[in-house]
Amino acid sequence: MLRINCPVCGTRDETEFTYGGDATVVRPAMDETRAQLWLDYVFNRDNPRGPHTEYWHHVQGCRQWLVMERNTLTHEVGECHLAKEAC
Amino acid sequence: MPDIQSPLAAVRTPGRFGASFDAGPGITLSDAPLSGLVQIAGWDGFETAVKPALKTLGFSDAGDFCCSRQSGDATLFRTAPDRVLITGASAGDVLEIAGANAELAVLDLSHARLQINVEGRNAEGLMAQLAPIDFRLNAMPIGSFVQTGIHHIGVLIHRTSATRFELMVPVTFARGLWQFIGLNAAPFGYDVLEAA
Repeated sequence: MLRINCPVCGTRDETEFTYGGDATVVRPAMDETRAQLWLDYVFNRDNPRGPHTEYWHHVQGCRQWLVMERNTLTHEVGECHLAKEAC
Repeated sequence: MPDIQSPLAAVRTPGRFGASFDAGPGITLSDAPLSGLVQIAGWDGFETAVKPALKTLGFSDAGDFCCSRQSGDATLFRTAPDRVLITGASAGDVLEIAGANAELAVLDLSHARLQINVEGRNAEGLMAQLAPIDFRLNAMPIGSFVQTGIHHIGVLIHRTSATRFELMVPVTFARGLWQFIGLNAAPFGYDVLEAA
């Protein structure tokens, strides 16, 4: 069980959240024509062993999108902030 | 305007249920339609934009994320950085002034939520079975609220006294939640009150 420190609601159980994907992925510019960049953006993901930056949605709480640091090896949860805030 | 009917009308059976104790049942369950419920949402600059509307009800600002605010019969909940909920008969008073502001999105949700009341000496114990929140009085004092999930359904839980919690639940899930709460209340013994 993860305990996630939502900046709005405080520390809550993982059951209130849904995972939203890798937060390090950056969408190519809309006029980008190289297919490989779009392929990477849509389908290809790293599978790191260790620190990972992720989107989580506090769907049963404040319904805010969060960016959270999580260690995929230890499940240790690090810094967490609102996705709409600048990193 | 048609009267709002309780979604529990067909399943609420007043009486005494569950375990029996010399001291009587530890829980009392009841429901009440919300006399008014308005959500105001916005974007950047929400706090400034919403201030005039809140002022009409006597609130000085949008409040904080853990404690409700009271002004007359209106109760204010800051449910997100850019969103508030207002309950009470006078909540509708903000519809016109907030609705006129293009920076705000205003919704009358009076028909969309039901209030379920959990009260009694075992209310804390029952709530602890329902949601993964610390409901002890020192962790959740009177006047505080949380948004969480019960049975995977998003609810807002407001503590109004040491032994009373008011749950704001979506009407479309109210029957399922009512039955789930009843199942969990059975070991404490519980009374179901007549409709308000």
